[in-house]
Amino acid sequence: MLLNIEKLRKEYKRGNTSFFAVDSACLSVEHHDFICITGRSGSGKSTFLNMVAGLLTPTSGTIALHGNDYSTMNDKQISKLRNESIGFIPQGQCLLPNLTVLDNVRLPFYLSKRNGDIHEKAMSLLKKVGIADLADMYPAQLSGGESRRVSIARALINSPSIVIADEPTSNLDKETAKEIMKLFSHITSTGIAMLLVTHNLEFVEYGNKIYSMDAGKLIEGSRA
Amino acid sequence: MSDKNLTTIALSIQNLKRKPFRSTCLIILVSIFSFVLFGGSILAVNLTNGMDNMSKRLGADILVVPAGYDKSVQDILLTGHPSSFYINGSIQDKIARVNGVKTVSPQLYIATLSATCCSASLQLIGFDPNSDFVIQPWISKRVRSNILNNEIVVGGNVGAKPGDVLKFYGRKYRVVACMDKTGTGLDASVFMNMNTARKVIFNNEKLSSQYANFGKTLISSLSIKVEKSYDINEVASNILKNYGEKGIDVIVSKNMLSSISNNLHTFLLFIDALIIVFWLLAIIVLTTVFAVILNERKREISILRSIGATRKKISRIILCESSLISLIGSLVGIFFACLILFPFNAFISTSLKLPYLLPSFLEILVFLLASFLISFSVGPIASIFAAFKIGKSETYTMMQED
Repeated sequence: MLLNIEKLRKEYKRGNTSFFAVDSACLSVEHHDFICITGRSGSGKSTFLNMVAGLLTPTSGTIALHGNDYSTMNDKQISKLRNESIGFIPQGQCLLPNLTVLDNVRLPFYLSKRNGDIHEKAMSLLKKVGIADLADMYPAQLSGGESRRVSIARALINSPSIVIADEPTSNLDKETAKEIMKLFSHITSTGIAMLLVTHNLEFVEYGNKIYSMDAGKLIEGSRA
Repeated sequence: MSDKNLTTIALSIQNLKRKPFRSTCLIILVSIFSFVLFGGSILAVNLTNGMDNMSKRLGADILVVPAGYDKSVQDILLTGHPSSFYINGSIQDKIARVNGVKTVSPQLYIATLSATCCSASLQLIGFDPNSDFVIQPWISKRVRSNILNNEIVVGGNVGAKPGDVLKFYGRKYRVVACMDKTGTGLDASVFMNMNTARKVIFNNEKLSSQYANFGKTLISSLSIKVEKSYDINEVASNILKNYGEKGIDVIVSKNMLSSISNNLHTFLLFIDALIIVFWLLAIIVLTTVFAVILNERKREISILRSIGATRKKISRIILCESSLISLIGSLVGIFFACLILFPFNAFISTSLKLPYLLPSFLEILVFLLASFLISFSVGPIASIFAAFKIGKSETYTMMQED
């Protein structure tokens, strides 16, 4: 099993009352899995993804990637795991504005101590997502779809085991959104698992496992 | 196309370049601080050195001068502004007999109009080698037992060297020694024995007729050493009481020095206050800016976290940015301070009208390094709060929903 999540909970306090943004979520992900999670705004999807990515500490429950339990790891170890095994595509504009497209893609390579040159691989990924000619542009010069493609290339630069994408098609026109989803399908075909959160029920058809999130509860569903 | 390593420094430089106006303003702030720190420190040391040298050089406990010329003597000592003033030398023996007076030595001041060596006028000071206890000991130690007639010793700022010949009032005088700089007005003075000084006056028709009424033994001042067991102020008061009607005034050196020293003290306090104000200002502004930047850059920080940057790495980027600002600011500030302090040394000295002496190169280097380190520390100190906040809070690591 690639990723195993057991009884994951995240409790927040609002004033005097507390509530669970994520409540007893369980999920197991295998290689090649394309998992789609749908749900309304505020249902806890992003909190869930942030915990899976190791960016947020759960109140209780376990997350294990490649058998590595996050609760036994410190920030350095989790960051290394995220850098090496997880490709994270955050919601909205998620590129560093002061770096070129190419440098945005190359950056994750330099966050862990690695030797070698990543230039060729970064260019080949940009080519794969169809924007090699934009390598020297800055994020401000890109359209929404182009930015999303850059973040996909960046997510793949360290050959992760799983790509986590938070609303990757939001604010995109239908055609561009479809192209992005096709790209994700292609990614899973290479053996990389996909964990994707989307509002758009139309795109859940790309997934082989579908979940919905409601008031923090992760419910397994099926294709309509 | 970039193929450089995206190191912490490279990322920090990119971040600073992205906000050129803000980065420049912060650099200017640090540079003003380092300018004030280094410039102020050097200025303070120069003045303190000058003051120390002046008290050493003054030597005398009491100076007797013609009534109303105490300010002129102070000008000669502080700024080297030449003056001529005289009293009849017969008073020397009378004052020597006052209780408590140990040694009395006369000086003769002559303001020159021009000299072959200098564009500005100089102060010629005649002294009596037999009784002098200020210049003569230096000459005995550094030149020879005595300077002969028509020989001169020049102050550190006169710009002549041993062997040179200077011309005053139509006559030539040979330089036998050049004194070390003292930071006082004496640096712009020329010293000669009393015989030579009197000849300068009496061989010149205009001067001799102008000062004829002071007699052949005219003098300008008397330097007095007081016996250790006597109170200097009391001796000064006795001199004034007994011979005040002869047209003389007394200056008690320590009182004059303490008045200058008080002015200097106020000035140094002002410099210290200025340094502290700018230090606090720089730290407060930088801390505020970095705290604000942190909020503004929440998204950027969370992106870095999402792709595998550790909290330490992000804190390092922030610290590196502030250190770069400090580094550039400190260097710019110190550079401009050097640019003003050293080439305009003489101008500053004249404008301040206080004893002013540059420290040694080694001392300057020590102050330069210390100023650099202190001003460089401003940035990292200011960003510690921001770095600490990143290290502790999940707010800066979580990718928020838009």
